[in-house]
Amino acid sequence: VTTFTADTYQNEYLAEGAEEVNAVVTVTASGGSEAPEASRAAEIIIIDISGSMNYPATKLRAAQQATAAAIDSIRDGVWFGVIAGTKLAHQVYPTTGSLFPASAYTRDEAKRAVAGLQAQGGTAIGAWLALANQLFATVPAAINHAILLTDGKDESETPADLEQALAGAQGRFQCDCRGVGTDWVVSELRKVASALLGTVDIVADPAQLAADFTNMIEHAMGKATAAVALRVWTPQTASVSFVKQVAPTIEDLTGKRMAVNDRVGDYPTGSWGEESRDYHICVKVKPGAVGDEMLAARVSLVVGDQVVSQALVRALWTDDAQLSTRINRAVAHYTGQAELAQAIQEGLEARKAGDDATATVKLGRAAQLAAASGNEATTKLLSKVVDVEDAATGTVRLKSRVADADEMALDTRSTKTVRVTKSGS
Amino acid sequence: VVTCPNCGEPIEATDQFCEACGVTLAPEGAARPSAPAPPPGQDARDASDAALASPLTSSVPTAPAAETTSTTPCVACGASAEHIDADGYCEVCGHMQPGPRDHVELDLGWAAGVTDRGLRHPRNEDAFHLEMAGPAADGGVVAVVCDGVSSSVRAEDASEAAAVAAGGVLASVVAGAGSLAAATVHAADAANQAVAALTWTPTGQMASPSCTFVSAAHRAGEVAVGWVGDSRAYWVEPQGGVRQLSVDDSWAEAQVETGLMTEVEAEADPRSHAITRWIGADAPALDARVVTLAPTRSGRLLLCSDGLWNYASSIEDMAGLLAAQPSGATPIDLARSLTEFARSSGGHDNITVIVIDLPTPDTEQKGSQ
Repeated sequence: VTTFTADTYQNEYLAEGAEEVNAVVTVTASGGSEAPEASRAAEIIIIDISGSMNYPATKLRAAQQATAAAIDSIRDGVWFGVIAGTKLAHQVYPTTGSLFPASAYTRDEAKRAVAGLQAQGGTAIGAWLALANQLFATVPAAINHAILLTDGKDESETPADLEQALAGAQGRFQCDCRGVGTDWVVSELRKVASALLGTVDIVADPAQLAADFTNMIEHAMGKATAAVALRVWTPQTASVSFVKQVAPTIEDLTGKRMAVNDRVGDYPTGSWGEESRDYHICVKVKPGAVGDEMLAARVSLVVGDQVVSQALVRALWTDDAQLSTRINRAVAHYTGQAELAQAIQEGLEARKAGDDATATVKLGRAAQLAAASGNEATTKLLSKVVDVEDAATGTVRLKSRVADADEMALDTRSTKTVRVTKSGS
Repeated sequence: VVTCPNCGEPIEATDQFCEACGVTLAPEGAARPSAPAPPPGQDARDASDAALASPLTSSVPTAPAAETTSTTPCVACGASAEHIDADGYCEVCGHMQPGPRDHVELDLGWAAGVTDRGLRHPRNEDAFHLEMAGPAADGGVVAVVCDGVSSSVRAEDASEAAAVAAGGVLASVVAGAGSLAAATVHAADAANQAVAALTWTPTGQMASPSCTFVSAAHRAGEVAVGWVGDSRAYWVEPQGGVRQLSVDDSWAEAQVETGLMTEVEAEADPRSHAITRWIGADAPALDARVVTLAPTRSGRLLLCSDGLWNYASSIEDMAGLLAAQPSGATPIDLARSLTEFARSSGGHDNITVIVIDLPTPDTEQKGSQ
């Protein structure tokens, strides 16, 4: 059985009159070493077969091979299916308007159907997600996961169509999104992934698709607990400023709040395997008098309607500056990582808009934050877009020529954080 | 290993709450201090202290105590008692309700102690131990006051562990025959070991668990007073004479002792209250300083934390403060009145006061229970 723990990292001491309480809550799921029950899981692979997948033809072939590899990684008994997307959504396997349990036989059938796909037509991501949503509803699974692969912009439907499909799918299944090549739009896929509690990444080289798909399926197969929510209680006079997942990636959950009552809201976190995630919670409270202690938030982990773990976020007002000026390392670290992601996204936007001055400042700040926090992956991605002259001061020069794939990789992966080391605090 | 009676998870002997299930812990032998009706003029917070007073505060060997479930409304927003959660927070406004250690009184008749959170600190990190020991005819009594260092981790646990450990050592010697001076040094050592044994997580610039220590032990006319840090002991004579028995282990005192500054100059320095010696794992390995006395006239021992003497630091001010107290005040009256004085002076720190009436030598013990 999976057990959850929740630990708070904060400086609970506030100066007189201070009204903002910050804390990092680390949630860890462990145990449950036995494989999750297969029949509780469902998996749908959605591949783009729009005309552009033929240019070059290796893209479609790589997508077919990656889908076959993914199918091979689905455990026996897991409900599964394959959708091919153009301006419509086509069910490739099975063709019965439902999903089949995986077995050697059904996997072979599915791979043969995928191998026969031809590329033609447009791109309508919302329509693909709507079909996936219908198919998930036909099986009694709780842990529903999809992979969505596209190589282009969502051009065969309106943004409102996509919004509507996302609204319908939210909370029904999770979806990891991948863009192949460089003709797709990062912000579009990020929106899909964010709404459906999934990841987004670029697979610039089609040859790498199979390994990436296999990895995603294995990850999905490890999820044992569905529909886990972060339940945040705050006092009557307080309000939640934000709730963000900050590790392994930054994901702002603030807008996903579902009110339980006046003082309690649930923030969906999707399915959990054996893993650990960090959340940054910021609460605005009515300042107490010096000497007062207040519970600023009670953060519970809720599975179904059962509280499985909880952590307290406290506030103690003091006139001892030695206590109130201490900066909690976890809070400082993740505040920096959030700023890093924002600086990259704003810097790249400025660069695209031709505002080199802003781009240089923002990406310089990003280089400085990435170096200071030991975020080597981001440092490496940044170095393909800017020449770093002095990371300590954030002095960079924009490269005159940047490969699209490098820029998109930096953009999609800007939300990846490094974890704070928990020694000290 | 000590385990939680509710959920079975391991706990520290000094824990107030189980870290695992949150239940309030009442260890064997611990006792509820007397919780008299609050004196007139105290506010609502104090009134609820009586209801919330629980065993694990200043360790007091009397009857065991029971539940600590709140029966009073939230002191901040007035929400009814069922809105107070197991952690002591109001589930409507979040306000922490007064804890069991916020205000504790112990009245043993001719000896009494009061500890109070004061007004400006979120917790009471002071703790005391007060106990009669040995045959009543000897008037044996043990008192310990410890003040948790607020810039250290688990300061409230440090003071409590130190007071309990030192009190136990002193009580066994007072009840027996050993030297009180040697017992005082041993008691401070035991306090040191108890504090060093607390588990703790390094947190920012916070020091390891630390506290001060001042003790008094009396048996048949012999008194030993020991200290580490800046909690103080005074000898108060009925005619008004006051002597400070302890010498602060503080930066200010060190300046004065070495002639670098006058008392006034040193007191004005921001470093004046930094203590140079303390109880804890990282403390200098030095014996507690001990003075012994054999009073030939009756008098009172007064032990206190700096939450009181900050408002009457010089001996003249302390003498004036004591002279202003009603004559004929019993030890509990005096301890309460001095605590109230510190609160009405600003209550910037936790306040602990112990008052012990020592019998006149060669006459009958007075008032022993």
